[in-house]
Amino acid sequence: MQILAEAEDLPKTANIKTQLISLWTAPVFGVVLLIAFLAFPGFFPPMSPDMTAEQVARFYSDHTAMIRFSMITFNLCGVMLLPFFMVIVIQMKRMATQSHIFAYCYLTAAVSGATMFALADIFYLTAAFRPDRSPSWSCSSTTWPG
Amino acid sequence: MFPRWVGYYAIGTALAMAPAAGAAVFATGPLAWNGVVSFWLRNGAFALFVIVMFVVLRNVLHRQAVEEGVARVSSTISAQTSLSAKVADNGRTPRAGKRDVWLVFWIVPAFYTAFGVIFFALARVMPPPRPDVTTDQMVHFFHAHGLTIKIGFGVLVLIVGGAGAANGIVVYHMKRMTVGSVMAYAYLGSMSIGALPGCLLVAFCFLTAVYRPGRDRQVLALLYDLGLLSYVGSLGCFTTAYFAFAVAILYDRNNIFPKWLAYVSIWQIVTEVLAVPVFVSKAGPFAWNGSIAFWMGTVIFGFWLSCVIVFLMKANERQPVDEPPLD
Repeated sequence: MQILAEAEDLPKTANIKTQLISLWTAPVFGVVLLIAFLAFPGFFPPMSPDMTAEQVARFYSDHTAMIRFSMITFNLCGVMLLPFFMVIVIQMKRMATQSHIFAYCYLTAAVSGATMFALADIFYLTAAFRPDRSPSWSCSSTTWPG
Repeated sequence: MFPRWVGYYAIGTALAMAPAAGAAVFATGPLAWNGVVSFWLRNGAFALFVIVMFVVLRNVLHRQAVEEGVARVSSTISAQTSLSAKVADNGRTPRAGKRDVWLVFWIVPAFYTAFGVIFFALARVMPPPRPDVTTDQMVHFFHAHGLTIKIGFGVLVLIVGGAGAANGIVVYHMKRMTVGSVMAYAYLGSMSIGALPGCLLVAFCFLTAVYRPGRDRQVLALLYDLGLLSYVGSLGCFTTAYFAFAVAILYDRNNIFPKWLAYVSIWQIVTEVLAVPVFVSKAGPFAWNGSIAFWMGTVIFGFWLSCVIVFLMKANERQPVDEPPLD
């Protein structure tokens, strides 16, 4: 087992390094997610709940490619924001509170939020999978606002 | 740790995002899902939170690095001796480890064996039925396999906690690494996310499909697509988990897991990216039943899982019985 000669090699530094990596995943993937957000044809303006089934079906068949591009990007990269929130959890554990309970509540809350995000992408992509699907069944609800 | 205003800011963000729940009630106006409050305010507040917290956390991490830099000068000697004591008896001690950790360990192969039986033999999801079929053929699939789907997925929803135990023991050993806990929590969180769209959604879609015999054919077709696309196409959650696992292993100085396992995990990330075309292709190697998007990913996952189980066992054996509890 090697002797750790330099102070920089001590294990504690890796603690900061991994947190910095997690911190920087936020802006890097944030830019990617912003591009996907802008690319999705249904956010500017956001699709109205008043749209009829035919309008929704037409939306999915007219914009299939961009819907797939943006939602696949969200699917692949959306959860990469989670390490950023885990840095918050780690820092909450360093607080002088009576226990770490709030840190763990924060952890599970972040996981719940990201789960909704992951589910929503798959619903959009399923609706766009067969653009010739009968209109009444293309009206799969978006869970995005959830 | 954080200045007080961060607490008030967090409350403010929560208040800005909470009214979006009105989207479940209102179909028009600012609270509808496309309204100013439920969409723009809610998403804007979230994005602003990430930006503000990024800046706050950068300062906090800088301070932590400085504080621990001061602390490590005085604790250099004790850190080195405790670290060498932890790793020194590499393979020379007989099977050690803690009994409760061993108990959780044996859940892992037991659960994944049951998982294999359910997904391969009973539910017929592995290999998945084809995407390039007519509605009639989809309906026929559910009729033909209704009973085994009910038994298999019915058992799955009962035992799926085994996946939680499997993720938990990996997180436990990741916390014994020298890299701190952030990657362990990222692994924990992203695997937990993956359990819903990546495992349970196909179970519930298929169970719903076979629940009532005379169900509308278009509903069956939708459940078929949704279940299989979510099962094969849940990519981001596992990508993040493998990323956290790989980074933690590569930086770890306690060598809890071997370095090459990090590269297998990176290989896993590649298979997730290669599965992206399942949302587009209905036939060929990149369809959800394709040789690359499905089979290659499954084989590499099987290899990765076997390695993880073996190295969890080795990590258990090398762990001293009297190691203090983790933070």
